[in-house]
Amino acid sequence: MNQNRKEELLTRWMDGVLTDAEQVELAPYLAAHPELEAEREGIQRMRGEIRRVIPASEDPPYPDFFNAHLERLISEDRGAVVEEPRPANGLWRMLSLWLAPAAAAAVVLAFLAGMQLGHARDGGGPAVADAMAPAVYSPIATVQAAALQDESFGGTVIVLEGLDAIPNSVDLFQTAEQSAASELYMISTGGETF
Amino acid sequence: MNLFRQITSKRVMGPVFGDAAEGGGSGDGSDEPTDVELVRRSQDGDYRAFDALVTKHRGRVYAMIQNMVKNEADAWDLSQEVFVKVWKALPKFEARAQFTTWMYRITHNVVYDWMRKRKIDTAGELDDNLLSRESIAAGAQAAPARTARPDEAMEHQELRRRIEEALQRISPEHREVILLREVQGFDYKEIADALDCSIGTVMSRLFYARKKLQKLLTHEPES
Repeated sequence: MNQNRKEELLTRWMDGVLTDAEQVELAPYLAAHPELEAEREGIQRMRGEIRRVIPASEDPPYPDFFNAHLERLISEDRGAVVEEPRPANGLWRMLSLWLAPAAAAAVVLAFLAGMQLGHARDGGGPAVADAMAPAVYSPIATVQAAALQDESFGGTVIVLEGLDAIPNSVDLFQTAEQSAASELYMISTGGETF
Repeated sequence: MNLFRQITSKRVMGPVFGDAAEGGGSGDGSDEPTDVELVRRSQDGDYRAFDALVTKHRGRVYAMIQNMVKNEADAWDLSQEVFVKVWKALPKFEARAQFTTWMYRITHNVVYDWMRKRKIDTAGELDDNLLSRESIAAGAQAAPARTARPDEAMEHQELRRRIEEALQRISPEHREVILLREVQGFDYKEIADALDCSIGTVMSRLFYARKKLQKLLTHEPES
């Protein structure tokens, strides 16, 4: 029996799928190597353990996102194929001649209109608590919180009244640096350590 | 989408053997469309059918790749690459072939291309990170299919860790046949088709892979 045939028969024997004819063919070799029986038992035990602990199927993290991302990749790929440059026929050439200047003019007009509106609001007075501003609450009863929205500034300011004064011993810059550093560390370790 | 629901929807399933592994139908007698039907509709350009095909097989593809590359992020990206290639190659897929076997062949090619590229990137040196970086994380995410007692769960985790470490110490060729045979439940012919090699090669690889794995597991001290 050559080596390849022996390996094939032994593999099938360990899997328990030998035919009767193959069993007869392998019998003399098994008789000459009684230690193979223990090896077979060990391998069968190992196979059972592998099946028990290694899952055949394990959904990827964020499975819904997996499908959505895949769809995007495929649609991008399709787009890349579909949107090949096509030869400009008469109509397309004519449209492209005046569409680009028209689009540029529209952008300039929109910009000028925006500037005019911005100037009109400049004299709008000081920031006030706006009805559209988000509601802010404080979990500490002695601290009052309010949101002020200033359209001319283009932002929202949250004012907290009733907080204790920050002691002089606190170095705000150092605290900010430490916070940033620890945040970076958290990200770099995936938040597993801390 | 609720993040908590997304995270908790991560499913872990045990090995699949017999017909279920062969990708025909749902295997549970439900009205779920078969692979053949989904493939045919996908070939007609029905993306919803392809999406269903992805949902049905992404777990096995991801698990297979994760066991090969031992890195969650890489496994995620490579699984995406597999399905992009599946989508592109679907028009050429012939219905007489087994879809799962064909899909695993694409998976095999994607993983080996990645390994080759990685080997070039690391100038042919063995990347230690490949072996150790995710071994803890991979074990940490192992969840038994049923609620086990704490001691059982620990034993399960420990056994999985030992087997995964041993699998990482054998060659990718040997690891792959073990995973396809013992975990995915493929028969010899299906493995040969997926790996594009002869049945004799499969038998030979299985023979030596099992011996090496058993030796590693027997000699590894139980921590």
